[in-house]
Amino acid sequence: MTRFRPSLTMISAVVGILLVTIVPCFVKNSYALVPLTFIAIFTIVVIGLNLLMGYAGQVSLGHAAFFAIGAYTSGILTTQYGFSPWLAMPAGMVLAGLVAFLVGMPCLRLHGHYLAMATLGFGMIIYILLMQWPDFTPMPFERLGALLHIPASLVWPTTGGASGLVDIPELAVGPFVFHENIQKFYLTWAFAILALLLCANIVNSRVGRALRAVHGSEAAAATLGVNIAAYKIQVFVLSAVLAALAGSLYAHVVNFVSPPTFNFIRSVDFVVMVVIGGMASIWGAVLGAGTIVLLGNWLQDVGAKYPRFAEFDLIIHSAILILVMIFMPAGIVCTVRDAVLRWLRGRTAAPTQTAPAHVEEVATK
Amino acid sequence: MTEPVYARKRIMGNLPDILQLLFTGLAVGSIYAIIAVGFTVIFSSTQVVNFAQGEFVMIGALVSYWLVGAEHGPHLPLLLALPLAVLTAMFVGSALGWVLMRPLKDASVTTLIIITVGASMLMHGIASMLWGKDPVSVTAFSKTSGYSLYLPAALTGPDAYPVYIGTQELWVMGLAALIVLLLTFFFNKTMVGKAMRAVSVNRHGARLIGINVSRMVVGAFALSAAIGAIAGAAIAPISMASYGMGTMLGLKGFAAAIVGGLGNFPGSVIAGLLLGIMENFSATYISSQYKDAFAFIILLVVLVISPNGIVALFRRRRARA
Repeated sequence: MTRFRPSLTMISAVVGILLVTIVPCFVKNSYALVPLTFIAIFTIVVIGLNLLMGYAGQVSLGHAAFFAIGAYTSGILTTQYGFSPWLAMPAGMVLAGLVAFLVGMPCLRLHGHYLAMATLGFGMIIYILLMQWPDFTPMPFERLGALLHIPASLVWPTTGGASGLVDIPELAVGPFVFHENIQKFYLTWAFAILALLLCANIVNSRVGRALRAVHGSEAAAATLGVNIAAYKIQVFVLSAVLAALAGSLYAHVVNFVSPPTFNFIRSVDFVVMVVIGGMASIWGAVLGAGTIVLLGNWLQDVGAKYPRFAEFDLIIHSAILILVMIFMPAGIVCTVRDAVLRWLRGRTAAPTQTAPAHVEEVATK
Repeated sequence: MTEPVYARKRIMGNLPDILQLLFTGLAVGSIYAIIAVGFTVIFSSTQVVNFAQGEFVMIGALVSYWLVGAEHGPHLPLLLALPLAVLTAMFVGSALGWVLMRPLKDASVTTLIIITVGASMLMHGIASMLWGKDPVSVTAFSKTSGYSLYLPAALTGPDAYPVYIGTQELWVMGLAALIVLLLTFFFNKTMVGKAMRAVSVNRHGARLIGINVSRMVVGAFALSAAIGAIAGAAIAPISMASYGMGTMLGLKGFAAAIVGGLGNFPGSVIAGLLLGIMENFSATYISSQYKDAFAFIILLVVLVISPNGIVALFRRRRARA
């Protein structure tokens, strides 16, 4: 008879679901759920980026752009074309995935910093496009509209420029609309937990093992027949799709999107979240997103009181980024976990004899 | 059907416009070229892509503004303020180089990129606290603001506009040329410059022959910061100075460095100049709203076609032929 042995993933998932279910009971007013909802949304972005940075060893400095693609696809399709949000959401994800494939394809075969550059440039282009999108319909599109006998506004969607899109509808199942803060809270966390489970499964699958091999040593992985570039592009596309999903959720939860939400600093914030949670640690994503959202909220309150410190969150985030990267490049969570494990092991067993570091170094050369 | 004579006259009638765009484009391009050279200096000695390069430009612009023109500043003469601004940037640059020392030994590219991005955001935030968020106008280097250059009427027709040659633009171009010349001399003829190049080729080898690698790394950051600060001080009178100016300028210079081939010194100068000119022309003839996007579109296209820069593309063609 085999005994039922729950996996770590399953335990974490159950604990996560329980936590999410009971948290609202301890919150006094529903307004306090708003930042918690944002944590769920950003967690979805951070898990994907975490896979990219931790396993593929690449950094994206333009994930806010994929977030924007999700948000704006949802916003445009629902407000201007009358799509159901449930159709607009996958549309944005597919679009983001395609774009990520095109941007990532040439860069992921190359050294680490090329993807960083390409995504940075891409993020800038998307931001400028969102800001400067013309309100009027350009001539060729107007002609096309006349030719097809449909209004020009259908041929040429608008992004609302700097003022953004308003009145984006909420997600709904039949007559039930996710309107109250608590409903949105459960909705976003349901998505976040699904995304976490998906990525935890990927990490523990054949793909995950290949990715870990790539992370350990690209040369060794390549010799073992792992197609490094293919895996990297898959991870990049997955991270973009997740970012678009989060963006779409953002649009339907906040009901409003405007370009400043998707600027370069947002892309850097996503990286900070990954760094805090620890690269290559899926569940650390929640912690990273949580820290930055709550810290940001607190700093905003401070900034409201002392206008001179309005830009203080930028300084704190960047200081965290620099310090963590220098002193614990594996991320806070991983470093602490490893330290605890080492401490536990040190108490239970005598330290095992390992080969001196320089021998390993010679062996790899 | 237009007769050829008229066609020629129409093109010639546009001549002042074209020359004007070429001139201002060259000035902006010189700035991109200087910033790109700054990237190259750091990349070729440490293999680090310094995403904080633009902030050196911002420091140069704002410090020189504060020293010369700010209301509560010391009102120093420009000749004194410029070296001080450069020194400030060099100090910040060395600090960044020193911070990167430890991760440089074994950290991954991702880690190094994140640290420089963090440094960029940090400077950004501190500058916004020190100088506020509003852009400030900066006094130009010379009292004369510029000259109007009338082209011969035979070329352009009787009622053509003159080409306006701004003195600050001339300063920018002159300083850029000077920097390029001095750097070429530095890397090819001086001992320190050669040592820096040696570090870029092989760190361990350089250490073995007695080069102080850490000092070279910090030196490269300081040098690059100085270059950036000069660019900032020179462009500030044209574009105004603000805490956020570094991001865009840095990214454009960065695009130039990639287009020219990362680590390729003449390539990045040429790419910077071309980028400035192309941007100016596209802003006039295609769309001014998307002016800032052109540099990045070019960057993406180059990354797709030839990730080692356009110069490498030509070199490869020649090698194949």
